[in-house]
Amino acid sequence: MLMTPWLKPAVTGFDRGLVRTAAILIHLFRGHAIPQGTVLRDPSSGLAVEMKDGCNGVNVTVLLCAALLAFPASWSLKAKGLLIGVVAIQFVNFLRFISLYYLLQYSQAWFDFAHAYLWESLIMLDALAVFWLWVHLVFRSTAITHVEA
Amino acid sequence: MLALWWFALQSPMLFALEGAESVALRLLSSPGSKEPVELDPSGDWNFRVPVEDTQRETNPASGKGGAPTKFRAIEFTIPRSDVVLFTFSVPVFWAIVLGAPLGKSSARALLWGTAVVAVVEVFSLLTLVEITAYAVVAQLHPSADGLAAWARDVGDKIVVGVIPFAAPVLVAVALHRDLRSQIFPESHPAIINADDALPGTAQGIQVQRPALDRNPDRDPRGRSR
Repeated sequence: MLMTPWLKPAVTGFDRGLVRTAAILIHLFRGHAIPQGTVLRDPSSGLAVEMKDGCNGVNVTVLLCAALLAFPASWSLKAKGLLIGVVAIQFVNFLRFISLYYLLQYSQAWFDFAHAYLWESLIMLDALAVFWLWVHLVFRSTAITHVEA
Repeated sequence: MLALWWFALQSPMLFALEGAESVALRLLSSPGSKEPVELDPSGDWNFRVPVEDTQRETNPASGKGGAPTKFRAIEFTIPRSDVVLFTFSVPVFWAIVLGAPLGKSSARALLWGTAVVAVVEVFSLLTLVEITAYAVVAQLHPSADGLAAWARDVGDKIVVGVIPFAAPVLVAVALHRDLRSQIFPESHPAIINADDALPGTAQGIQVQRPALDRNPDRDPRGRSR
């Protein structure tokens, strides 16, 4: 659905926001980066990374949201899980994007490995970890409810 | 595990994938046809996919359509760096299973899971090959359906961007009983049937039992003797 033509501008806008925020974060830590739409460019070397479909963490976020919504739990717990899950995945995705930006300046081969395999698996495991913790939270609150009853 | 895969396991896994993919594509093509997968000296994979299509070429001088040309197969190349992705799920699956607590189900989950993930990888690459072949066919027909192009795009994204990363996690959780019981605590009401649970134990729903009656003369069903 995210790839439908009428949602594409929203996803691209989201990507631009992520790139701009990444540039602000890099500036806060005294780094140098220029946001150009969905591209983050290093002013000295000219090397740039582009935030494209699949790089914005949306795929994994959708997968996690589907799992959270399908699991039998109260709506308040689901809302908490969705909020924490989206924040956790986007946080890791920020780390991923910024680390890839710096990794590209260092080595193209390492960038390719980290981009295509390492970070993709870490983000998926992040989603699994969030889901795991959330299920335990659901279990604990269900147990407390039963004890209180 | 990723480092082991990257430096040592990639080549043997690609070799095994090539064999499996060749068998899968042969099943789709007519008997006696050319080898469906061939590696060129640079390591890139050349695919030959059977396709039934007819294209009428336009004569640029006269602007009229020429005789129709019938296509029986399409040949295209997928770079080695792209095919490597389809050997990636197995080591990730191994890492998850070996990182989980070792129990009785670990060895069985490792064996079955490896087989399942390997089959998923073979079919994912097969799907990508078919999508690519139909994308090439669609380029020959500029007026092709936009919805079909969108469906191919979505299929491509799922096969390349989702399945290789989600499959090892999902298969590990589905097949590794100890890992599953860690993620889904057995006492969750949705997981365990209340009839299977022993009331008052840590397993299953905490069934509400009537408060202990301190009057020994009282019948458990509530009637006074």
